[in-house]
Amino acid sequence: MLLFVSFVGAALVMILVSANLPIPGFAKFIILIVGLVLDILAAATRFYSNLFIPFYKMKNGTVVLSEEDPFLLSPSGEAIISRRGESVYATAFLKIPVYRSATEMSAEEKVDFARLFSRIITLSKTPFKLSTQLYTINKDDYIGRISDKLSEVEELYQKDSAGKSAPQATIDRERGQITMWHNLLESISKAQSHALLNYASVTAVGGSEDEAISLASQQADELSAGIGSILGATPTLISGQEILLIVQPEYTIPFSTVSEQIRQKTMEEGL
Amino acid sequence: MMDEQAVIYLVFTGVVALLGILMLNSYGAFGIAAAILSVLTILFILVLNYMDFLVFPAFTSFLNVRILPAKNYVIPKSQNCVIKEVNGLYYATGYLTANIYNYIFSVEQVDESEETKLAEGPEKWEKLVMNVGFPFKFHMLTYAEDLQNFREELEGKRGFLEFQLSKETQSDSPNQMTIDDFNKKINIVQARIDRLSSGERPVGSLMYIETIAVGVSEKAAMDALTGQVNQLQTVFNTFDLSITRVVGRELATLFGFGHFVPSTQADLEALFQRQT
Repeated sequence: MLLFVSFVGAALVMILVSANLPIPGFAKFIILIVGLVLDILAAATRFYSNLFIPFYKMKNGTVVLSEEDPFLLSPSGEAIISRRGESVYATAFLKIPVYRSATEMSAEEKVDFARLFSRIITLSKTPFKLSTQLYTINKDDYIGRISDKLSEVEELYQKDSAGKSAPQATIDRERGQITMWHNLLESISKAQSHALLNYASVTAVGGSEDEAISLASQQADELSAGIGSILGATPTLISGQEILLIVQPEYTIPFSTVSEQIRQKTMEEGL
Repeated sequence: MMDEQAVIYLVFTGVVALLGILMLNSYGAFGIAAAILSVLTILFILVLNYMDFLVFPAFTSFLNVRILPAKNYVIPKSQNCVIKEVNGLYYATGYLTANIYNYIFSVEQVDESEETKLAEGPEKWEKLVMNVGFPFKFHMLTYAEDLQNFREELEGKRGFLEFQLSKETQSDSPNQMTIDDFNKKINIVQARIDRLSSGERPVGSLMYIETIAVGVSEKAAMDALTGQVNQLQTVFNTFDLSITRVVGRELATLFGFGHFVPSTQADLEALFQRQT
């Protein structure tokens, strides 16, 4: 507001001076233009006051609002920390498990489910964010896990086949499992894979990192209890690498998958 | 609706610019030019106040200005996305407003088919997720409003509408359309009071969609992002959504929301006003 008053005051003085000074009309006109520019700047302070100084300090067409990382992961890995002025903000994330699908619900159950969602929204007086994220699965990890499973079952199959103590039904089941994991491994290499993550986030402000993290954890616990009582499934605190999946774009679309996408796109364009 | 702050800014800057017109005689031969410039200034201030999402990107594009909201992130001159470069790949993040009015208590209409919409909601959402083949996030920032204050506001609003209705009915030539309109508005407010009485709590919320696209250059990422944004606008049409791509100053605000949630009700309310 101070900036607005200063600019409006300066504009007013310039316009009054331009009209009353005993100088040539052209000079008066130039002062009027300066006054009107100051008036526009005064109007711009409503939305853009935070950009005035960065714009003034602009170099090579680049306005720098902050040179710091947008956040830091807390030492415990259970929250992210961001600083705004003297205050420290800690944000904690809760994974909300949803095990039901609308395709399996009756019309009445669907209405009830939507109402549960409305109840979650009205849960807390403290502001919180409810999010759903569709992200690209990191196929390297996924393929690794499936390969491990496959190796595990293959090893078991070989062991049971070699020894003669295992019943035939068990050996057949293991053979079936091997086929299943093989098929899965082949199919995931062809198709893009996405997963859905539902989460809630809360932020607490503190004078120090420890204080902010402690308050954020407290708020997250309260929210978790509330959501748990409504949905009947307890949300869990997201920590470590999983937080990065939420806050970093390169984790939402992993590098390996991106390379594959770009390769496919190039091939399609080539065809 | 205009808030007090907007009135103050418009009135003061408008009056100052108006002086240029009132004193046009002082500028001699330049009088007409001074008046025209003053009128243009007033028009520009109005545009800046109501359509700054057009002015600011035009300004940054004209000056070829990029904004760095944080380390490793860039808002390009077009002001429509936030870009991050990682290992030679560019990740462009774009935002869309997405207000689901049916889920907000502050809904301004009584919807008779609400039950049907609630029943259709979860299935529509699942179909939507299945059909979107790229990453996106749907966010809802929310807080519960003070029940007592909210109720008092509604009762005050109902009282004022009833006063206007009685004034209209007692006038010499009552207009039936105006009377119907007031009756409809009273019904809306009454329905909301009834919902409060039935145990529902009023909620303030801000909803937005975020999507991320990747490319081997800034342009490739931005082009892919525009495609994704257009696709999201199409698929989210199945809901009653007000979808607009966020451009300009609000981009940096929404980028910040990725790392923290405004912690007080006052902060959030200020943002609602800014968004509208």
